[in-house]
Amino acid sequence: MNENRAIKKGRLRILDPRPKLMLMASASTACMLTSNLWYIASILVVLVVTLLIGGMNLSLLWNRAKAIFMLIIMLFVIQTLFFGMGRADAAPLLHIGGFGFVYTGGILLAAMLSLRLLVIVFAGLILLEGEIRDYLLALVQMKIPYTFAFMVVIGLHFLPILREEATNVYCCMQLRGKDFKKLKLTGKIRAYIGICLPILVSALRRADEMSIAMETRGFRSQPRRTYMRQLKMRGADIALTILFPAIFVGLYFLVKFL
Amino acid sequence: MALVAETITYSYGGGSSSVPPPEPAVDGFSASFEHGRVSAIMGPNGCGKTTLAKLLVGILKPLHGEVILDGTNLVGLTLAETGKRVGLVMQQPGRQLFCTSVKDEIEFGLKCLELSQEETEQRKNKYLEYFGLQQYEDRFPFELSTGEKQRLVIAAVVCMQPDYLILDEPTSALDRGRKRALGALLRRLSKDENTGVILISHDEWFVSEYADGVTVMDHGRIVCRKESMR
Ligand SMILES: Nc1ncnc2c1ncn2[C@@H]1O[C@H](COP(=O)(O)OP(=O)(O)OP(=O)(O)O)[C@@H](O)[C@H]1O
Ligand SMILES: [Mg+2]
Repeated sequence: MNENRAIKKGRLRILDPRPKLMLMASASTACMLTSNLWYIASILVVLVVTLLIGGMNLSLLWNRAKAIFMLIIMLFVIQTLFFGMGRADAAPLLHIGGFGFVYTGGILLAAMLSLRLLVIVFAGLILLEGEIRDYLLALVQMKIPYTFAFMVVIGLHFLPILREEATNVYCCMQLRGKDFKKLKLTGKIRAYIGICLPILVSALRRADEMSIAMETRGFRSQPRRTYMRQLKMRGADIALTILFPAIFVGLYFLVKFL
Repeated sequence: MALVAETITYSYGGGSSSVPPPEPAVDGFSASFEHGRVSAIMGPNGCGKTTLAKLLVGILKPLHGEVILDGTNLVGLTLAETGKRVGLVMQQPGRQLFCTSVKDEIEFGLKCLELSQEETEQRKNKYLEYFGLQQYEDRFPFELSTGEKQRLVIAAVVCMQPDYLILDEPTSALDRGRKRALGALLRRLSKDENTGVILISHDEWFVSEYADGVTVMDHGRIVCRKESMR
């Protein structure tokens, strides 16, 4: 039982980064190009099936995406409640105190936006099943200039550091006596903006210092550079890179003619 | 009345089950830091001094054991409540500044204490002067030199006059004269104002000169303790 899971878990991990990048790119493009609910839902199904075959189990999936699900549900509710309010040409499904709430158009729009968001989140989850440096290599091997690819990857690495820095300033403010729980909403917002200032300043400063440090250690001293590791696409990787966009194109026509 | 750590243990990143939990950064540490004393903590890099400081103010919660501040468990206090009684000067000066001017930085804590206008003004001027920062009053804190930032952070915490003061490597960027000034201040705070000072430092000269007792740590545990420096 356990053994079985371990093997499954590897599948997405050992996949070459390029099919994953392709999946991300084609799924998010496809879901933005049309507003057909069935089509977007089918893309989502493809992504979920990929994740499940790739070895993610449902409880892990739920754990990873919980916070985002809450956000999406909230957005859905707000959208359905208020979209189309005050419009004369649509009939509201709900009347409260003379105001109309919940329109069919609103529900459809909210469903579409939520599905799109879910597609992007799930595609992101697939990307997460891989090493950041593999994506760097993949980008470089896709002939993207390495300075640019490097920047993207460093940016990704920096996100958790920025978060830690923000937590640190947040702690410092509280230790100097600021009680965030007692603040009113406006005070809270002002305090949170106050946290952003030092983070921004130090991020800019660090970017500056890091670029100098990198150049003194020889970054960009040669126009081209070589890599110890080369990513090799195996048959399955090539097949999947072609298959993913093909599935989305196929689904598009399927949905259109059904 | 003391700041007491009772066999506290903390380890980083034990959250996910796939990675084995690392060796605890602080491992069954017990100590009582009293009012009116400068207690030094020394130990090699990575032995858990910074982690201990964070546990003592409640930024980190111990996995086992508890921290008792004058008889109350830290668990029941918010960071703001603890911060008014226990001041913490962290290790990296640049990461604790968040105001747009040196003046505001010092006033931040004073305003949170809800002191009167003149008291705020008086304490601000006193500490600006003591740490030689008057001429920078209106400067942007991020533009100061490392040592100046360090003095500013210390001033911003000390001016709140907390009952306990924890300083994590407060002399790392200070020149000799500034070190002496800080040492004299710590001695005065502990003797005249009965503050409990916890001094984390690598600076053997500074510790031998100004501390009343030393605790040496390694691998998160106490290896030796000296109650008196004489
Ligand atoms: N945020 C963190 N995540 C994971 N491990 C950490 C983290 N912070 C510290 N550690 C680890 O915990 C141990 C103790 O770190 P700590 O910062 O308390 O050491 P220290 O005694 O303050 O060292 P120094 O003298 O260099 O300041 C170290 O082994 C360190 O690698
Ligand atoms: Mg430290």
